[in-house]
Amino acid sequence: MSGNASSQSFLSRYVFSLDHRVIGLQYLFTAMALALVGGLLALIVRIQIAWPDHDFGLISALLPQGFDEGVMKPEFYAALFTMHGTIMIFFVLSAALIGGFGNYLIPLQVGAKDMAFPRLNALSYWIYAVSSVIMLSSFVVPSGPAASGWTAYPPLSALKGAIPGSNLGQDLWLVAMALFIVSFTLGGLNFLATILALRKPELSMMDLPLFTWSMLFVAILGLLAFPSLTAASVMLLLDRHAGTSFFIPMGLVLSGDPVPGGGGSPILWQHLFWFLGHPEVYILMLPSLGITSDLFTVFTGRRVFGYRSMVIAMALISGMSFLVWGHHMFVSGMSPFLGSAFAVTTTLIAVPSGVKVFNWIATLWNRPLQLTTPMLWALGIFSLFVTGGLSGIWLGQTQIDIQLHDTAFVVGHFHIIMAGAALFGVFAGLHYWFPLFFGRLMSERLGAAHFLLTFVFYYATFFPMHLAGLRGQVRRVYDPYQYEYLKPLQSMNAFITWAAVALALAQILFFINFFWSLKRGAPSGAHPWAAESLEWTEPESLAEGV
Amino acid sequence: MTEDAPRNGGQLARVFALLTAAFAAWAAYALATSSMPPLAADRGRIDSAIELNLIVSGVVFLGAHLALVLVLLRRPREARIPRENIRVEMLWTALTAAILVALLVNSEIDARALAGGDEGADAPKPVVVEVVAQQFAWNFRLPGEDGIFGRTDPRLVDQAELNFIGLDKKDPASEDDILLPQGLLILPAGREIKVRLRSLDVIHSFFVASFRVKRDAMPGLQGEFTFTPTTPGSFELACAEHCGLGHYRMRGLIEVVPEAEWAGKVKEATQ
Amino acid sequence: MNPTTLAQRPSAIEHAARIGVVAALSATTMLFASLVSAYLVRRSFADWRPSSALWPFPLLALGLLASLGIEAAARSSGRRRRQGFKALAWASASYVVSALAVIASIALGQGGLGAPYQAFVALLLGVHLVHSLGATSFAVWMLREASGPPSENSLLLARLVTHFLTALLFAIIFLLFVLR
Repeated sequence: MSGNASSQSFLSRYVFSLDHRVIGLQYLFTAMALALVGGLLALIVRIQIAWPDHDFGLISALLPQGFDEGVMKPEFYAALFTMHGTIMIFFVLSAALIGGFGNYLIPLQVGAKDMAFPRLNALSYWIYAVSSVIMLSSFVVPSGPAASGWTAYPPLSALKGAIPGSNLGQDLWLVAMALFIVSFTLGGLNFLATILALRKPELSMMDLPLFTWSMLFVAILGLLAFPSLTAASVMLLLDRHAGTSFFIPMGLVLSGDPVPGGGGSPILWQHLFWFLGHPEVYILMLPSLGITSDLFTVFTGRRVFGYRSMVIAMALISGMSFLVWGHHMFVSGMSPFLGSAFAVTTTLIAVPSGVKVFNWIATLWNRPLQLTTPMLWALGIFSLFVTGGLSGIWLGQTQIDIQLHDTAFVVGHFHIIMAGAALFGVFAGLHYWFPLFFGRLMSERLGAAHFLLTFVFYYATFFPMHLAGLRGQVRRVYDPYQYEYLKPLQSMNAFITWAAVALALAQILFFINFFWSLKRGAPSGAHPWAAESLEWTEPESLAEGV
Repeated sequence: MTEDAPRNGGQLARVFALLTAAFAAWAAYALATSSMPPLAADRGRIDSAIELNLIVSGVVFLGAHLALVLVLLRRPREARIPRENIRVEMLWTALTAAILVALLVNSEIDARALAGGDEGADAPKPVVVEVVAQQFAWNFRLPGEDGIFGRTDPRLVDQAELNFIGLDKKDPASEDDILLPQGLLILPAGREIKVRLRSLDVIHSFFVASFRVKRDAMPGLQGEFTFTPTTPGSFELACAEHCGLGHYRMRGLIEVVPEAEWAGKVKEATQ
Repeated sequence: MNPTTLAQRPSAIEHAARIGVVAALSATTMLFASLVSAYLVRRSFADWRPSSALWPFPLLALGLLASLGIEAAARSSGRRRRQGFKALAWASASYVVSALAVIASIALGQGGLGAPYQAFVALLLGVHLVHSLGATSFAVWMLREASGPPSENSLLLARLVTHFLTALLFAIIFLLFVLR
């Protein structure tokens, strides 16, 4: 091989490493970079909703194909919310919580030297990296990125003439998603094997941190739920290129011209998609729930109340998450009997979730708390989980869903429960394990300020969306004020956008804190939090400081 | 590090508690005073269900956030809370389940009532309307005197001839079909409306916020649902499912008129 | 970190490998469950017209031969073991080629993949063929990596995977040619 020795060792140590800790950090940094992209897309979307005729000036110069003399094109708006959702759900939150924390911590928390299959682990990261590049590359495609929503419902996503994004952009989306699923599957089986087979013999399952438990359930959910989107992606690619009609019904007319072929069922895609899609929501939730419980244990100085029932609740939530997907299709015309069945499962999944909330209160009640930054984020998750869980119960009832389905209410709901709880989980984990990763502490003062601002502006952004939804504001619209009855909502939408801008600005504090602490943070010592889980107490699990 | 961390009862805790209390109070107030577009159809059950849920979830929401505020503000005293107490856990599991089951039963009763269908033989026949969605417009058709919709065929669609739904004019049943102008539907107040919903191209969704009605228009399938508009006036029909670049402007108008004026208004609109 | 450091606990690694393979097979099962449920839905539509242009027995025979090959290899040693692996390799390779031929003939034949039944034959066989190819390449890579004869554990896993793929093929053929 050519190249000098030092660059080789740098490559093998930090780039093509097989060490689970390096791979975990690779996931974290990649996800952090993609979060900037996903966040920027969201801001542009928000500006458009609040001021539809806005001249985007500088932004339009950066992405000329999406704008017409500074004003956004409607098809580009659709591409923006599609890519925002896809990138944030899969490439940022799943990757950070599971690829990042999971890879770094599972071996440490179960007392293993590394993952069961280190090569597979590295492969899984690199497939993820390639799939993110493919997903991002669609921004330079002339017809633009996929624009059929992160749910990619056909026929919109199947017919090239239905929307510009359904050309090459949609193919790149499908290929990137299929690769992401392969990466996630490889990671999942690695997690499962590591937790079950490489656990220290003297460590019983009932002694594991709840974060590790959450990773076990996440791995199972991923392995069993994700393949259905692989199947659907292959079928949609065949529909788009090989002349099949799995999802394209008979007798379509697109802008006056008959569509050849047909006979398929678009609703079949929805079933396959949501069979993945709903467990994916819990894939994002469970790690945060696990982290919250573990942090409550550490910072109240006592094991979380009802540890055993916390594990059972996670198991029930995971199991039931396979039975609720139909609630995304209540208004699709599904049989009322089926609708009722899905309403029952959807509503009852709130029972184990309620148990978690009550147990958390019992853990915190009358205890001296150490309000460190990670603990603040965990308390924030408690609040988000309650707020978002309650609006979930609304949407789980079929008659209420008739009115609120596909409105801003749903957008507010899932940003609070799924996106919010997962994002707060990322922050909780980053602050908590930062000393383990880098041997230094993050600034508590900056951390507290960042938390308080994020907490306030997160709710200021997403809570009013419930009100807009109740007033009938439909989602994914480029210009809501085409409707007379939505015109009075402009000031509310402007408020939401300003709150979102403030939320974005508050994140600057985090980046300052993160990178400053990386170089200048106070040395943490081996045991900064007085935590008892193995990643802190086992001598060989001390960070080398990457 | 952990020794000098801020404690509950301290300054940071007070700031956090204040923000939490302010948010919870604002959220509860905003939701309790929030409004929906004025109800103009016989579907008040949905409004009642939302009110019921608002009360139930409001209590839980305020309770949980009150607990959080108290946890933050109170200086802890010596308490004897065990690590586990199966009886207490069973109690709150059962309580949660009982509330949820009650909500579910209510939802099921509402769903059945809203689905409608079997009012008995003596009820007046519903007015049948065919709604055909396309990128990015709504087509409305009434069957006319004979009560039968004429045949349609996608191959006959001719936008230049304004035959958007591909009506077969050779079919005798299509002679008296009434094609309303695109985007305008005129309905009689107080009569039950039966909508036959389909789509020509991609998935759309028929949403009238004031009627509390929403149903996806699935290409290849025909959906059917009923509602009764109660108040004369004009109401906006929105597309609720992302259907392409013109999704935002796929707007329709529904004019509800007193039943006596209905036939005249329809005639006026089609001339 | 080098994977060999894990060799301190060989039983744990073997256990992990078994869990990994079972997990991979579960994911594959779910993938086919999705495809099969799509097939079962589609076949209930009115325009379902299965054709009988295809003769599935050669594919089944090759699948069986692969399973028999690995069983023979597992139960013997030396020259006979090599023969067993050879049979497995030939059967797998011929299966991949013939399944490809079947798909190509459907795609290029009358109506191509436009007819729903033909589309499902190509889809199910195609996805199965990709998995067979993947499993075979993985096995070849493993055998080249490992010095010396394969361990009992890896033989067990290879048998499991081979029989799983054969059983899957039988299920697919049953669906496509009996329950069509």
